[in-house]
Amino acid sequence: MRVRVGLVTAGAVLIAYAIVGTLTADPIGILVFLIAVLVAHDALWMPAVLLVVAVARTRRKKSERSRDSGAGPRGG
Amino acid sequence: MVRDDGPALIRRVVDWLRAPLPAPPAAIRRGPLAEGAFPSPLRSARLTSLVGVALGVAFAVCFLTGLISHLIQHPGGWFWWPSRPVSLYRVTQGLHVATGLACVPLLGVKLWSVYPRLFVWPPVRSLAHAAERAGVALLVAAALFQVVSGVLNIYHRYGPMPFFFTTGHYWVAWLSIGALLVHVGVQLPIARAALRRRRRPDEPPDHQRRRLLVGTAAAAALITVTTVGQTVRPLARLGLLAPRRPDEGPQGLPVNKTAAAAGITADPGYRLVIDGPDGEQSLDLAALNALPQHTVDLPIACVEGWSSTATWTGVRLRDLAALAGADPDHADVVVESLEQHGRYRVSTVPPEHTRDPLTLIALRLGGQILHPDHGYPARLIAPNRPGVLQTKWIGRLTVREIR
Repeated sequence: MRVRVGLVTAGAVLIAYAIVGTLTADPIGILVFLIAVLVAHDALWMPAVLLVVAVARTRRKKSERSRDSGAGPRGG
Repeated sequence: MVRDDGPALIRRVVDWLRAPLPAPPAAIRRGPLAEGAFPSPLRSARLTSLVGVALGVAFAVCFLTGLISHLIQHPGGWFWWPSRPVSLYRVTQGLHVATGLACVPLLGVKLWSVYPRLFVWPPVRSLAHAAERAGVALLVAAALFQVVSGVLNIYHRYGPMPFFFTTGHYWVAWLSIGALLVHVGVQLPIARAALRRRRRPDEPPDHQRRRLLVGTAAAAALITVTTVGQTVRPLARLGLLAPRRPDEGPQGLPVNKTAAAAGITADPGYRLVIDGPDGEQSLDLAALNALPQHTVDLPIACVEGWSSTATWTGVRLRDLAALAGADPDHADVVVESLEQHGRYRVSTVPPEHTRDPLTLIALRLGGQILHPDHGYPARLIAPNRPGVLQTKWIGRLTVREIR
């Protein structure tokens, strides 16, 4: 527990240091870029990747099904 | 009798933070919020923890090497950086860029593995849960910020960044390391349990998940090796995210800022002004060439990770410091470029570099007069120093004795 409290406390101190430092730099520009990359990743990039993977998986299953049914025993 | 209210107060605050918040209406639990919206069986706490450990190590290496580079460029009074070994900076900065680029696949897989948690239900269970989620959002944003801005810097694409790259990258590095420590502190028990977990004898081996891990490791390793191609010539053609070639550019050496971009034109009346304890003097090119010339093999090591060794000829900076009337073993030199603007038009050469016989005011590269893009008529070349501090088109040296 002590290790965890130490890690969280040290992390919080570093975050505070970074925020103070950012305020002396270009806080608006940095904040805008932080939000932009987060939104771009979570709302655009990852959904797009998951969509592509889902479509590819569906197509593969379809082609496997059609191949299996085509290769099956034929009556006559 | 003394009442001890401290622990009771802390307990009350913790209870308040952990008190359940009202649940949102179930009707809005649709789309990605719906149960089973992310069915991939590849995701697991163990996979997330393993990739997380690799990412944590890469981030730590990247942070420390980046901090070294920052301190060399902006030294506080306490910081000291040696002039030897000559290639130390090229190693630390090469490592910085290579580990930073290796983070691209690691971060991609890590974020994919935890993406369903973005849509956890209920979205906020308590104030403590809200704070934890805010911390994770901060960590993800900072990590993406560092990787994306780093890659944009390698490609010299500054348009999408509404801030000065170096400053933003530096402060958000502190932010990401702070958020990482908080995250590790919060997730430590879960990660420990996941990493200690062993497959039960009756459990079938998970080949798909192993393939994913091996693929991620291979991608990170491939990017690292090809990034090294910016320095190691046989690997130069393989660079995917590292576009510089160590032998491309005027006189076989890459250039980041050209003379035209710096607004420098050849001046036949050029004179190097040297200011020191004995007053100010100026030397034209003939006078500089008449001084003892020395030839050294030194690398240019850029902050973007590429580096290339070349043969430089010129006057030792320590000889010019002595000419200015200073003790060259105890002097620093402010080097000013003819460039009118630019964040790196002035640099300071500390005493350990000034006294080093390898530090030159170079007049030749590979035996030829410097190409304008390499700093003609005169440039600084010193061992174990970032490329941005190897000032080009030198117009003035101010020698200061250090007591």
